[in-house]
Amino acid sequence: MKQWLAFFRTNEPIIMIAIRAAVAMALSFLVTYYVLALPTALAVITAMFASIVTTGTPFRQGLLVTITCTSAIALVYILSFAANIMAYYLAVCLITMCVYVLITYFEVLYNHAVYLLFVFYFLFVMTAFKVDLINVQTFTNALYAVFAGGVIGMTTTKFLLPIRQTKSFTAGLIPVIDMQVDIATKINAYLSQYTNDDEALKNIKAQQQTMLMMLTAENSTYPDWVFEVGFNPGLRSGYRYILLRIERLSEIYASLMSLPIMHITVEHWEKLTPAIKTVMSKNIELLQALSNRLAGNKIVSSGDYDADITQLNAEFKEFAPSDLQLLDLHPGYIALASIVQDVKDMRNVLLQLMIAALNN
Amino acid sequence: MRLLTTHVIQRWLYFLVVTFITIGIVHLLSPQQAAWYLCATFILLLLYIDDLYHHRLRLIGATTLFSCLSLLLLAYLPISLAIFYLILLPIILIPISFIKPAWRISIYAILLFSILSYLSPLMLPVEMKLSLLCLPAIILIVCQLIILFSNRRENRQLRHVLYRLKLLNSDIFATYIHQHYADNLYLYERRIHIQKRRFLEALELYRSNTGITHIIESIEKLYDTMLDYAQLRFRNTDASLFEVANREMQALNTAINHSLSAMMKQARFQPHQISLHSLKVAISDMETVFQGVIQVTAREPLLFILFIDSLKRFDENLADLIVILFADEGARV
Repeated sequence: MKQWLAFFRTNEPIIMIAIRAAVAMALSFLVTYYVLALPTALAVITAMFASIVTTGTPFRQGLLVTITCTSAIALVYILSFAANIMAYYLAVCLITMCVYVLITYFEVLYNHAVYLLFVFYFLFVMTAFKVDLINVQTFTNALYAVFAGGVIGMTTTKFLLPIRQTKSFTAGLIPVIDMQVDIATKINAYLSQYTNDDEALKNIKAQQQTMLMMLTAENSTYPDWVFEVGFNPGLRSGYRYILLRIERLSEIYASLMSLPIMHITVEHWEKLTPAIKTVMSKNIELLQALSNRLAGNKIVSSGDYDADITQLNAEFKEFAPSDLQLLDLHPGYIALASIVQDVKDMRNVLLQLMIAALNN
Repeated sequence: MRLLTTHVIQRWLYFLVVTFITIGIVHLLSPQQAAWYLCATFILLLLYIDDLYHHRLRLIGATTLFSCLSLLLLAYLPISLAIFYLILLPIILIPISFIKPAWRISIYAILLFSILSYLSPLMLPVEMKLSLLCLPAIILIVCQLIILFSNRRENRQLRHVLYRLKLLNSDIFATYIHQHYADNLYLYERRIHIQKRRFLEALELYRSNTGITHIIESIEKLYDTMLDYAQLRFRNTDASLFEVANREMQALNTAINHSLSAMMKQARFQPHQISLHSLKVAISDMETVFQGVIQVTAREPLLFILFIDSLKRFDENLADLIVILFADEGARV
């Protein structure tokens, strides 16, 4: 039971999309069959596509689906003047070819192109046995059905079972930040040891891969929909600001993992490791505070996020050559300088994120 | 966008052959049968998951099978249960389409066939609908076996990974080369995010299909080093320094892309001399500009030292990957 609850909690946005689609389809069937006496299948299909929308721009996507379906009807109506089945076949082949081009070369237009294709096929099926009739009434009914289906689909996403963008945003970010806490903790432990521990490194790399997939995969709950064209302008800049910084953190981890740590001498490592470890520990504390803040919990923090950076800078200056050009005398110097720069960058980014999270 | 690679030509040939066969068959059918057959053929034609034939076979087969099962259920269920089934079906299938995006078109196809079968005025016996659904599936599977059965998929996938890395590099250097990066921050960062996603997808496909760990680890090192030299776009806040080194940045971009392109060509088993000399020259030019100008004018010259160091490591990692990939080919670096 607990596992099912956890599953539903994690996948709540996806399950809500499915429920919205089912409700929209049921409503459109009831309205078009019992009330409006219009072609039900058209309305049901349009309502389904208009309600399967991402969180970012549900209304805009629903409108796009409705316009696409209406264009498909208009195309079928124009073709009906040819009064020849070959016109339909040719049109179907040409449209399929266009969609095939879009799928083969472009990935962005995939969904919209497929909607057009699906509805066109559906209309073709519907009208194929009446192809020699130019029936204005048939196509007017089809237009009304599509319009009704689209409106019902959009109403479902906007009013009946509304999409809550703020909740989806924080729910999508928390797993990523928790994963980053884990990775940062393991990196901190790895940097503290100064052993070429391949197993620990592989473990960190595997987790880093998982986090990168969370950030970029199409099926993740990461709120990528913030970047959709037409997203709420009031929320857009703030959400994008946060997402860019989260992604910046993932790049910092990649940068840390790329460094040739084996070039650092034991003496230099032992000198700087305590300071680096202190800074990383505070960074992890900030990450946990960020996760708590997004979850709506109280933030617990030590408050001082400057002294350790100052200490790190001072210790780095002590061992590094005063002239920067001499840094490449030994590869270990540059590797350490990179680590120091990376942990400082991480601190800057985290402080920016905390300020943004506290202001929201 | 690569217009006419061998694989793209094969896909177009597959499309044209299927279209001609379909047009030939529809002339033998009544308009209602032709409409259903055409619909099924072209929707199944759009199903393409990846380069592996058995994956595509499974996808087309599963879509056809589940669509047929759905049609049978709807034909024999009482009306109330059929309506309940049509409401339950999207609740079950749509979450799956989000969890597995590669199956999305299949799932939409199953939903569409179910709705068309039950709610459209097209009156065909259920046996006829099933036959007109299975026949195009068989034709597509046979055509794929003849035309799209590739035996060089590992090399093609490796080339695709390197191609994606090249595009990611171009978008990273675009932030150094283009002067309006600061004014269009989200646009450029969005492009980088998309390229990262496409690279990771290509790498994941290569990993799952080949599992050649030492090549994958080497490519991951390249990717990490690339993200390391990409850090400069955030660290440096003085855009004028990028303008000063604009020509050198363009040269670096060209040199890295040229090296990756050369490796892509080598992955097609065409003996080719891969030289990293142009990259070394570009890095050396960058060092010259740093020592001559940036070191004096920059507020934090350390950032550029780290940038140049990560470029040198990228060069070394590229050389290591070349050795791993082409140890038998005798490629000269």
